Amino acid sequence: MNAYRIRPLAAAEGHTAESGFAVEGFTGTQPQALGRVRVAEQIGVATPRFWFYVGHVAYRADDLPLSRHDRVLFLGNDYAGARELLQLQMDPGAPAAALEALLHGTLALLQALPEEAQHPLASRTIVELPGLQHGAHSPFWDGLCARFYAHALPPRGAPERARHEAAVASLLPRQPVVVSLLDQAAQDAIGAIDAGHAQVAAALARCGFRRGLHVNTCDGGPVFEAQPPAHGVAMTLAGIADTQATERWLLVPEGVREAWILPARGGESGLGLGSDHAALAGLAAGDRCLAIHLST
Amino acid sequence: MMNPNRQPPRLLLRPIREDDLDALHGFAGASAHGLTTLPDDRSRLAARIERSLQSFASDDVSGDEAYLFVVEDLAAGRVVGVSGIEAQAGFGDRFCSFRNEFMVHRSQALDYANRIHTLHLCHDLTGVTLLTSFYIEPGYWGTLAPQLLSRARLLYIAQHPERFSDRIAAEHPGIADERGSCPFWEAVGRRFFGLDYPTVEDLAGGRSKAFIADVMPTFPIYVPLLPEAAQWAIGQLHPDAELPFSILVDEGFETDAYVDIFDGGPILLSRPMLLRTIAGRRLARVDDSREDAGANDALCLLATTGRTDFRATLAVVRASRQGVALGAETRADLGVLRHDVVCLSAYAAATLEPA
Repeated sequence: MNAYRIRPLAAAEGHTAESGFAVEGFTGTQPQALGRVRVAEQIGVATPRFWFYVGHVAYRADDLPLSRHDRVLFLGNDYAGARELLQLQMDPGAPAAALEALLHGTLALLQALPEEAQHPLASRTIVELPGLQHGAHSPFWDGLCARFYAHALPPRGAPERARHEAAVASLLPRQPVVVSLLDQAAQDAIGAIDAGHAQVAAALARCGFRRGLHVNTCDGGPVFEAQPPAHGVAMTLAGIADTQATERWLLVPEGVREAWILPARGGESGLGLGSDHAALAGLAAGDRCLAIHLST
Repeated sequence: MMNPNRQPPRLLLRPIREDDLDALHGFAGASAHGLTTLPDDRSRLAARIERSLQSFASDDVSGDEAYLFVVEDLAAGRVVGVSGIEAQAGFGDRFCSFRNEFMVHRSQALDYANRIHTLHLCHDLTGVTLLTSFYIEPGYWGTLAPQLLSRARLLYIAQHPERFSDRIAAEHPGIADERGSCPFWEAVGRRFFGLDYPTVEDLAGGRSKAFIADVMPTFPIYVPLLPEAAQWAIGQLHPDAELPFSILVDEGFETDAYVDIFDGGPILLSRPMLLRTIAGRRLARVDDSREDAGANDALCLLATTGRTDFRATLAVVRASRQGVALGAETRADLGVLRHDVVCLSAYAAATLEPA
């Protein structure tokens, strides 16, 4: 499977056209659904949403002399207005490349939205990964949040979890929290990722997401932030018969709300594409695409 | 309560002298970790005495003065305790303490409210007058010596207000074990310093603790995040410090606002005029003692009014509008003559007739 299509989720699949994207893989000409992701716009604007920013402070006592650094948690709404990719679901049999295709394609399609469709606050796109949690217990929750709200943390995925996180935030410290005052397990849980999501973290890194400086307020899970994506280049499809292409390109055909990840070859005169892949994507010589070179 | 018809043991409080160094060194060595600001170092103690002598003698008040007093058991002929006053806490630098504050966090959605205790590193007490260096030999704990040692210095402050602040504070040691391990320090200070409490105490050596504050967070510390033992230790008193603490609380000092940044021990604070000894003091001329004890006799703190030759004692006296009747022995101990003026403040049994 070396061709992937990323397209907006249809309303019939339970989403509005702009609320998510699906990835399909192709063996021959038959698409196979491999995964989907939902996109939330302007998060934390209608209902405040909170994160801890993990900062640093440095001290120095000239008398001794002694200096030290500390991590500090600042509660805030730094990602208010950002765009979030969430509810990432992949078919258990999907190849690892499908997840990356979904992430690459989603970012490219969001970037390709016409200016009037871009939310003014959505300058950043994030993905929040679950932190350490076993049942109702999370070392971060137990070491920090439970000291201010002595109740159990709802299990991950529970319907009330998001509401709970927002409500608990108003009970959490508004002043910076010095990390070294937390117990060791809570300190270690800051930015730690649930083991079941390690592959997602790796895929995010390969797709240009960088681990940010924010963590979830309840389990300490990290926030990944998309770096400004590689600028797509408007290219013309020059040749259709080149089947020796070994480079992977992401193509967003002009005027079409879908993205393709296909083997292709880039040259000064344009892109070279195998005829079978061109047919799959409905492209012909002379068509123009937004093209991003992914790998060789 | 003291029987006013019976004279207490002859005790005298006076400024420290150079020949008190041996006694002072003995007190410093006998103190547990954190229980005194006296360093267990003979040369540094000699310097403290020298500084005290200069403070009493100096006409120039800068705020850097540090006074030491000793109490003598005149019958035994030896010094049995020491106490001190620093004119301005943190002079030339900062005096750091934690201020207790409380915030209420509330979530309407969860119908839940929480009162959160926080500690704020602050310099509120910079410049206040500080009561320091209290030590009394254990054999005298049950006598009037600690009362004289602690309260008489308040009369010195009251008689020389230009040399002191209009607020008085007193640090008291917090919970620590015999080896000096302190739960508050382990949970807070050690996180930032990486050293044990006795080592840091040695580093401090009686100087300002501002050097510690330089590597401590300026943000509030949320007490619920601390281990239970450390939470419990905040504002708790070391058992060995109960005596001087109780004397000052009885004077009218308040204890809720501040704690020590080392060990979380309570810091007492008051305005001088709100203190019992100071509020109840008055000046009176010395008269001859009458032989018969009367119903108006009271156990009083008596102090001379001089600055460098300050003396104080406790005695059962009869005070009236005309003056205060002192026995020959008391007059001799204080170094006063008939018609001299002394300051007196009732300690027990009866209030003094107003002047």
